Amino acid sequence: MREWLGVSYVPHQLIIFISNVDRLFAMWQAVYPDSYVNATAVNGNSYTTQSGTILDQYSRMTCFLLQRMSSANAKQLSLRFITTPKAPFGPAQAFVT
Amino acid sequence: MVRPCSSKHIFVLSLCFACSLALPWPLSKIYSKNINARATPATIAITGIAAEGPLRARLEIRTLQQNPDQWNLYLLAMQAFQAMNQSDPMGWYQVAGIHGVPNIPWDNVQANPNAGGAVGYCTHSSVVFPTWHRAYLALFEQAFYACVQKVVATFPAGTLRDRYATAALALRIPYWDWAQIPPVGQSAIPASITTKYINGLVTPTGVQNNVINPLFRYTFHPLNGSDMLYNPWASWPITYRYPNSDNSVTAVSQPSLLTSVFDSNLRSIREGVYNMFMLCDDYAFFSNDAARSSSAGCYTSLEGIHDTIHNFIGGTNYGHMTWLWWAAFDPVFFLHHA
Repeated sequence: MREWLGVSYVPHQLIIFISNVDRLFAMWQAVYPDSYVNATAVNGNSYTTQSGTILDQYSRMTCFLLQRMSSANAKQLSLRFITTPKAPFGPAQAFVT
Repeated sequence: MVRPCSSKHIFVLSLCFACSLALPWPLSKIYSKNINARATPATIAITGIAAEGPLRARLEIRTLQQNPDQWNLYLLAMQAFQAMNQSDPMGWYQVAGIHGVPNIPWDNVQANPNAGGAVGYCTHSSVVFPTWHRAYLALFEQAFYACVQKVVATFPAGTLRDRYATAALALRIPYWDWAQIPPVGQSAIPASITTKYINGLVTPTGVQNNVINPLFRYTFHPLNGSDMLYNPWASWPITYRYPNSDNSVTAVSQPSLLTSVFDSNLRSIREGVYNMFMLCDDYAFFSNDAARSSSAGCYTSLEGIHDTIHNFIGGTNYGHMTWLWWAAFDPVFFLHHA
């Protein structure tokens, strides 16, 4: 992120304008666009997923079945659902790739 | 602060936020689910708000509150959302229930017979924590917006309805920025979330005062104890935050204690966010709280920080927000996650 901002030190108040879960995710995606859902075994069961199952960005997420929702799709969802009007990043849809 | 899993509630040891590595109990032996139901196709498309026009911003809750029409409409829509029939798949109860209890299929998506009878579709401690909850929010926002439109239609034709129809165009679910330095003299938890009653609510039948704030709690209607599986949640008719008791039907939320505890920890929350952005450059570590051998310097994660918010709000006696199974019934859940 320091490289992305072109400075060696980023004061707290510059970064922490906006923070809650999905928004932080969108902001993080903007800062680190090359790192996304790594294929990993899940820890613990959920209603539909057995512990140890390897999930990657193309795994279908339940119970959102109808349009085959996956993490890859959710990456694009941010274009439609996530917007961030406040500084310093500006509208999120402009920086989420 | 990450709340440790207390032996006091050992039966839900695996269910508290940040503790899902402590799995698994043979939950399938505790209760059963009909996993052999005939496969029926899913029917509900997750579209978010499929409205024409430009993208609209989700606003910080304190910003949204500055627009009186949007704020009034937001409260009315939350009221209407929560009042929907508890059997309606797009109503509050069923949408919240996707995350945990009731332990039933949503939209015909059946349980995995090899998943040990786990409760809830939500994924935690995994790389799909951020993405699953993003899709979940899209569904929530879609259901919320249907309520917005219903509410607008309940106003008699005329100037007022036109005003709310205009306000609805740009209304999206707000978020609560819990790492923001609050305005001087205010808590980091906005009063709009912690105040029990609202006054001056404009409704189709006139202005109402002393209305239960739909951001303060959800009232089960009715409470179905068997859906909630365990006490005290099975006997709590409303959602609680930082309750003063962990097993009593007379428990009450303690908003003033919650706000003081939260404010005392605001700095550590902010530092966690800062650390995450500066040093968590690998999605594997950024995304979830189970990546224990973190990369150098990255000592937290999006999910880890998110866990602490859940645990603060649930408090020392484990209100609904503390546990995966019950958390999403509390209206603050979606303000936290948005």
